[in-house]
Formats: sequence, C-alpha cells, structure tokens
Amino acid sequence: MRIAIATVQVPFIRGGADNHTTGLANFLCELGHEVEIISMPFRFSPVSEVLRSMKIWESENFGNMNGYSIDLVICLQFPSFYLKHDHKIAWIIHQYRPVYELWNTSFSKTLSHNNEGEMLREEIIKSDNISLKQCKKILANSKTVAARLWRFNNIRSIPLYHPPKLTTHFYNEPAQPYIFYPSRLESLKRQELLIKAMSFVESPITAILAGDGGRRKDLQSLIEQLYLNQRVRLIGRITDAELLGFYAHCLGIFFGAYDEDYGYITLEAMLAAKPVIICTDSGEPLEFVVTGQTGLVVEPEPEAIAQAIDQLYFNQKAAAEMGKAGLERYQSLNISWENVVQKLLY
Amino acid sequence: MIESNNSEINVDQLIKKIREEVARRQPILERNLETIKVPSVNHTLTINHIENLLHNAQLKSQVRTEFPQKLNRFPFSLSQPLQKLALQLYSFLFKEQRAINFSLIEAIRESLTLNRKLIDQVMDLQGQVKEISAYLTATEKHLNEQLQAMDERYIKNDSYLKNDLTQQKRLITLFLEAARPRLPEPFSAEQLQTLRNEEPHQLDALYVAFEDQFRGSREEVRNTLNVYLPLIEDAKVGTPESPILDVGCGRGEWLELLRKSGYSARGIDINKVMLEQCHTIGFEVIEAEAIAYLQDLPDSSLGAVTGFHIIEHLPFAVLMKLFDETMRVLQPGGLIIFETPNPRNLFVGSGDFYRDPTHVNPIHPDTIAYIASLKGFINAESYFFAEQDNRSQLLASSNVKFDTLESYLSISRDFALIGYKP
Repeated sequence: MRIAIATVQVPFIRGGADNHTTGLANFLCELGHEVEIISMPFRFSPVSEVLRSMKIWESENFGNMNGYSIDLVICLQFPSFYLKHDHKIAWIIHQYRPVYELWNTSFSKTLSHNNEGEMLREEIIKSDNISLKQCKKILANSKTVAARLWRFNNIRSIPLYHPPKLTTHFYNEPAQPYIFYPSRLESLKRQELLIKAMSFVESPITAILAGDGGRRKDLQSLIEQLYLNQRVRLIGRITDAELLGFYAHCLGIFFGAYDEDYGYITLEAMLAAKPVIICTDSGEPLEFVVTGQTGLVVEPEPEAIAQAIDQLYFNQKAAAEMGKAGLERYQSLNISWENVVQKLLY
Repeated sequence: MIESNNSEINVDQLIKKIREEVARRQPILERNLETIKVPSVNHTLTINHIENLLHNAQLKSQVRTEFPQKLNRFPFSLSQPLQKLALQLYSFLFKEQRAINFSLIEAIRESLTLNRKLIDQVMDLQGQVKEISAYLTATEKHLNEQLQAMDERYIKNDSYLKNDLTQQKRLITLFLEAARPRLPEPFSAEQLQTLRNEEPHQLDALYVAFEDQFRGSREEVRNTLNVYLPLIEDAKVGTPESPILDVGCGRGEWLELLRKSGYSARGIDINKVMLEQCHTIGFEVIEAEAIAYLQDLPDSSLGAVTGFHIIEHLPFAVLMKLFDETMRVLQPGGLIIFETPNPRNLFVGSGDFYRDPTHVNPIHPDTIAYIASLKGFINAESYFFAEQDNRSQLLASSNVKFDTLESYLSISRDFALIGYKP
C-alpha cells in the first residue's frame, strides 16, 4: 500500500512525536508498504501563524500527488488532519492544547485573556470538528487524548498505544542513590516539583535530570537558590545508551508532568523495572501506574513528592518489587507496532 | 542496595560511575541493535486483509435474487412481477461482467495461494541460510584450529628431523669407528676406499642448501648466463664433434640453456645431491673430479670448457693444472669461460666473497687473465658485466678505470675470464 504519514515538525525540538512518527513509518516500511512522512513546520505563536498553518493544511489536497495516488493518509498532529483526502484517518497525538484542556490554566495565560485568543479557540474547535468528521477512522494516542476529544469536541475515538523507542534494550541494575527524570525542560513537565522536593527529602539521595529545553536557565537558578548544587544535577541531552544506563541504575523515576497525553517515561521506567512517582494530575501515566504496586501517585506538592522519594529509599526492597511489578504490567498491556498496524490498517 | 551509612553522596562521582558502566556496555548494545535489524515481518495480517476483500467482492458479485431494500424507500413500490423482470434484465445485462468478476477473483485467489507458498519458501530459505552460515562459521573455526595445530606439529617435526639426522650421522661415524677393530676380518682396501671416498660428500646437502640461499633462483641464474651464448655461437663450438664441458655444473642451469639452444654439452660435478637433481631433470652429468676427468680425455676433444663459480674453490696449484689440462683437451679455436666473484667490487672483496666457507681465494681479474695468456690462451681477457636496456653485456676489464670510489661500488659483482686456444 502507498501510505502517507502527515504531521507537523517543530524544527530543532525533539520530542515524543518524532519517535511516534518515525517508529510508525519504519514499521510500515518493514511490512513492505511504500511510506512517506510529509510534514511542514509549525509555530506555536503568534495566533496569526497558527491560523496560517491551519489554512495551508486545509488547502492541501492529497488526492492529487503528481499522478501518484495515495491509498491511505495517516494524520498525526494538529493541524495536519485538516488536509483533503478520500482515505484519511487520524491518529491524534494531541490537539492544539492551549485552546482545549490548557485553556484558562497557568499554561496558557496570555492566550485565554484576550480577544484574539478567544477567536482562535472558536476557529480551532470549529475546524477540528469539521475535519475530524471527514476521517474514515479516528484514533487517539492515549485514553487521555480520547477523553479530551469526547469532552471538547463530542467526537468518539479509539485509544491506541504504541511502544517507546529502544523497547527491547532496557535493562535493570541494582539501585544507586538517585532519582532520574529524563524529559524536555519545559513548564508542562514541571521539573521544578522534583527540584523543590529535593530540599525536603530526608534520605541521602540525589536527583539527576536529563534533557534540554527553554527552561534550563530557570531550573539551574532554582537549584542554586535552594542550595541544591550537590543534590540535583541537570546533565543535558544524553545518548540512547546513556539513557538506558541511567534508567537501569536509578532508585526510581519521577515523572510529574501536567496532564500528559501519553508519556513514554512511565513506559520506559516500567521497561527498566523501576518504580515511578507521578502526580494525581499527570494525565495518561495514571492509566499505567498502580499506586503502591508499580509506583506512587502523589499530590503535585514538593513535600508529598519528597515523602514518596523517602519511601522508596527507606524501603528499597519494596521499591525493587514495584519495579518488577511495573515490568510485568507493561508486558501484559500488549503494546506493539504489530498491534498498532492491525488497528490502523484493517 | 544502597549502603545506608553513605550519607555524603557525590553526585558527580555518581554520574561518572553510571557513564563508565554505560561505556563498558556499549559494544553489547550495538551488537544487539544489529541483530534486531532483521525484521520478522508478519505477512499474515496483509494476507488476511486481502482475503477479506476477496470475500466481500465475491459476495457482491453473486447473482442478485432480491431487490435492494433501499429501493423500497421510494414513494412508489414496484409490483412483484415488475421487480422480477427488472432483476432478470439486470442479471442478463451484467452476465458478462459477472463472469469477468469471478475470473478475476479466482485469479487473485490463486496468486494469493502462490504468495503464501512463496513466503513459506522464503522463510525456509532464510532458515537454511542461517544454518549454513552457522555451519560455515563453525567449519572455519575448526579449520583454523587444525591449521594452527598442523603448523605447530610441522615446526616441531622439522626441527626434530634435523636434529635426529645430525645425531644419526654422528652415531654412524661412531659405529663405523667402533666396528672396525671388532670385525672378524678387517675392511678390504677396496671397502676402505669406498668409505673414504664418501667422506668428502658429507657436506653435499649443506652446500646445495647454501647455493639455494645465496646464488639466486634457477631462473635468475639462467638469465644472467644468456650473455655467454653469442660467444659459443661465434666460436662455432657445441657440435657433437666439439662438445662443451661444464666443470662443476651444479644445478645445471648452463647445461639447460645450452641444450635449449641446440648445443651438445655435458657436465661434471662432485656434489652428489646436485648431480641427483640434474639426473632428475634429465641432463647428462658425470660424477667426476675436474682434473682427473680432464686427464682422462684425449687431446683436442672439446669445443669449450666452462666453469661458473668454480675456480675460486680451487687451490692455486690445482687451478694451474686446470689451465694446463684444458689447453690440452681443447680443439684449436675452442674457448674457456670461467666466471668467478669479482674482488674489485668493494662489497664482494671486503666481505661477500667470504660468505661461502668453501671459497679458497678471491681471484683478481688481471691476475687470472695474465695467467691464462702465460698458459698459451690468446685473446685472454677478463670481462665485467654491464646492464644495458635490462640486458647484461660483457665489458672488457681493460676498458674500465677504477678512479673513483663509485666505480668500486658499481662494478659488477662477478667477472668472467674468456680465452681461446690458438
């Protein structure tokens, strides 16, 4: 089959969506399909740029591709599902979050308090509704994303999980005294929760944060402000091999993002058989973590997180058991590209 | 488990430790990534999908027996006979299309079956390839091991045989000496002679090995000898009436060259191992000592007497005898060619000459030419060799000036005495 994967790209920023796209394309290729990833740059702001991007995708007709007919178009990201094609399906990673679940929260302050924002919101909801209804099939990246679609757009979708990169390479080693948090350094990921928690922990433990992003400077000065230089370290971007290594040796993983759409980190922690600490408002990770069994779910408060870290440290045997239970849980979920393709194509 | 007394943690050391562990692990990870590259493609999904499509197509292409439900929604409802007629008409009009549809479906079905068979075969072949490659790897390993073992054994055997041979030689000598007084009858004079005759040959094999090592390969030697062929031709010798005798023919390179050029020639040597080699190749060679052999020949019976790297092995008195006897047995117009190391070459004169332990004296080109003329040879002259256009040429020694150090270094390492019987 000739398959086009339509998505947007945010140049120089790497995140889960890239793995999602390339992972899908690679697997379809392995099955012998002719696959092309078609993407365009996307800018989160200003409003005019978002609108322009929507217009461009809306004007794209994939029915005409220089005489090549595409059998199936899989749209992954907003606003790529605005394109025209008789056989388009949507597998939504997330919608334009600032006008949906982040509306009127601290994560979209500027937008929710002006007329332009209000106008954009109406425009997006209207266009999302129209274009998604043109899709032959609507799938969501996770239960969280599916729930949002139902809540805001009254559209039903099937949640469909896919495996993280390097799935087969995770390994487990005895715990070293550190909590690991690999993620982009941006406000939705809430690294500051872990940093602040580190000034409340009683156990002799450190925190290692991998990844890079716009908030690096702020986080570094927060660490210095709290005199946590010797307890918390931002180690920047790391290689795949290092990522696996830091997962393998940690005492546990912290993943306190706000209302995460999917969140590979939870799954990766499970694959490395390590307990995960998440927050009650973390979104999809709540679907994976069984509190007290495969990790700990706590209030998004530094003190509560510190308590959870201490609990892991002072009950290390139990912590290791939770890790093992996490791995078993992952294996029971049947998350695989084979499964994904069966749901998408047939 | 983290040690609980470790209250002071150094986060930098911790990070370093993890990174080191990762680096150690890296090769393993890379190997894993490689093996995982071979995708285990599951074709059953695709095939099932195609089968579903075919199934649908087949259902739709059946002959219609009922009127579509949808049409009943029209305000008017067709009466039963009219419906029947319409269906018959429809069925008639699309009869051909149905036949085509069935054929197509059948064709696709068959190709699907074929595909499935092919997939099975590919899987089977993949399995076989894997087995074969595993087998090859194992075989290669096995062979390498065997080769190594054989090498070791060979080296051991080789040195054992050499040592054993030396030992046997010593034992035989001892035995002979011890046995001699205890024999019921003493050795007859004849027997003693035979034994004594063999004694000088003890070193024959050694000398052959020596020759192989230092004189150059058979091919190389034969090429340098080409330079003398015109002399033989000019002198019109080498006929059955005026044969050529090569004294100390060694491995027989010169004889081979002469024979190929159509000349009649024979060789003599005292080295039994070399003689054996010549016999094997099929040359006429005689085991004889030069002077004694020449002494037995009638006057004027040879066209030429040659000797390559012989005269430097002879004591001076014997060398004189060689000239005398040669003069006697040569026919008038016959010639001598004696090649020998050139002591005027600084390398040869200062050291290389002495590499051969059986060499007696270096012979100066002037000296030997003078001796030859004293003994009655005419046009006796020593010749060096000069390379021109990759070919060796003779260069009369009287024309060469030794006035620079360079000339001592660049002069040929051998020279040849050439003289004629008047």
